[in-house]
Amino acid sequence: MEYIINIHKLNKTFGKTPAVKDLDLAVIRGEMFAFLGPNGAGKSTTLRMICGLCRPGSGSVVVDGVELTAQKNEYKKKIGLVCQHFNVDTELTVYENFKIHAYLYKMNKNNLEKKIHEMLSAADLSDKKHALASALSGGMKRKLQIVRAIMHSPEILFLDEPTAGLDAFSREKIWNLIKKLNSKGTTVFFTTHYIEEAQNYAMRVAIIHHGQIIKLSEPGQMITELGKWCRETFHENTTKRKYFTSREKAEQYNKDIYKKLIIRPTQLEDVFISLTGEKEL
Amino acid sequence: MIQIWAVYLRGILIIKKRLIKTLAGMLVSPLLYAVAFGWGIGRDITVEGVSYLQFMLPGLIAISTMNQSFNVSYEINIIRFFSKVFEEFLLSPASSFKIVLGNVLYGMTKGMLSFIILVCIAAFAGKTFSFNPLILLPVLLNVFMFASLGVFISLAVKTHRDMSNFMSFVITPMSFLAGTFFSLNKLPILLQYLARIIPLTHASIAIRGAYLGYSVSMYHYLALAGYSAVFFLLAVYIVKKAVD
Repeated sequence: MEYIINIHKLNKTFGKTPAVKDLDLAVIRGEMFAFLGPNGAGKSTTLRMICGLCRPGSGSVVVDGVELTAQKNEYKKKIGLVCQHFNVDTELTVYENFKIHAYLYKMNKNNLEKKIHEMLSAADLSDKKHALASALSGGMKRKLQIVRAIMHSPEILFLDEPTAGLDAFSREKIWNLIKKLNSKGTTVFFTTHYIEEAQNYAMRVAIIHHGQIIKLSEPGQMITELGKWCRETFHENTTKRKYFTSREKAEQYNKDIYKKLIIRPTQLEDVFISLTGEKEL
Repeated sequence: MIQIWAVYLRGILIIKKRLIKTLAGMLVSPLLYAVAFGWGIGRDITVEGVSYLQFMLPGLIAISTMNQSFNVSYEINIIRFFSKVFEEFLLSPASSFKIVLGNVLYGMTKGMLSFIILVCIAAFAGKTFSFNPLILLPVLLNVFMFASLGVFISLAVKTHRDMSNFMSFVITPMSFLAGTFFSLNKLPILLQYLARIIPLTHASIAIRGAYLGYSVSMYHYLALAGYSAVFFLLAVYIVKKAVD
């Protein structure tokens, strides 16, 4: 098993408030890795540190053998980041967005037109080549962001809530694109507020809380450990959940107390709530 | 080089897309100054042995090129606070020096465009603009200096509102106190000393000297070069610090 990212004892403090504490993490080459956490847990700070947008207080981040602080420019070529906000250049055309990116990453000029053509096809934006990015829909802008981020062939693609604010149809298209990129060998590291996306698409999931990773495993494993069946009751304005290894055990438990209850398969979201004590907003 | 070109190209593409608006914007303010002060108030006035319009034109060049080159700060503000495109630069393998230089060149281009426009206005107004290539040196130093200051300030401010405050409290007063519209000799001694600290004063004096064909002390050129170096280094520092 080959690790593409190795993070060791990563720390960051803002003023006197620790945001990330002694974080250790390793991501396997080629996997889809989800990084979850409640608001303020430290996931954005971690992501920004890994991507070189925020200087770590201490600790090391190594991507594909290159250390972040030691060879910063070499390191940056190995990563691609899709920010949560739509940071495509809306004053430029789709083509010009690609061109500026290519120049910033010192890409080979001889193959540039071919590469842009490939990227346009991958994002289904061939007919929008000369359209201003401001004229694209939210889904199209996100696709442009994603293919722009992989244009320089990074070893790993970071996606910060790639489907935030998109409708179900656009979300599916975005995930199809991400899965296609992953199937071609790009390691994908993503954060999301839609925990079902992590359950459906991630091979492994890390949950960060108060700046520390409190759980790291495969989604199925996490669910099994909690209990595959969830007995959910609503009582005195509170939703209570109890987990069981089988549906029968869930049905039998305190059968007579609550008349209104739901028995359903446990989801990754239940794991998240049980570990962090809160639902991500 | 290509990374500097990437940052610069973005600016040039934007100028190209808004060419008419950009040029019109560069035209309005110097034209108003020329009409109000040159033809209106100063028609029959002589300053330092030349007509007021001739005296004022180099001052207008200094102000206009300052404003347009410093204007890069607004562009950076927009891509930093609103569209977040500046993050693309920070994320890329381009060094802080290259990011700053690309943006400074963009600011300089805007400044030089406004210079060309002013030369055209002067020619159109019937004032013989005996183009002295020596004028290019102080103008280039002026646009480099204020573009560098623009990049530095745009990243040093915390909000877009701070940017407006900087304009109100620093750039606008500087426009009027730097010997652009009147001779510094008319000011009280204390204000004369104060005016000589202002970067634009040196640009104004050096441009006027080159335009009117008299020699000015090298001190003004050295001051321009010194301020330019300090502002540029501060800009590189602040871009480095932007990832803290």
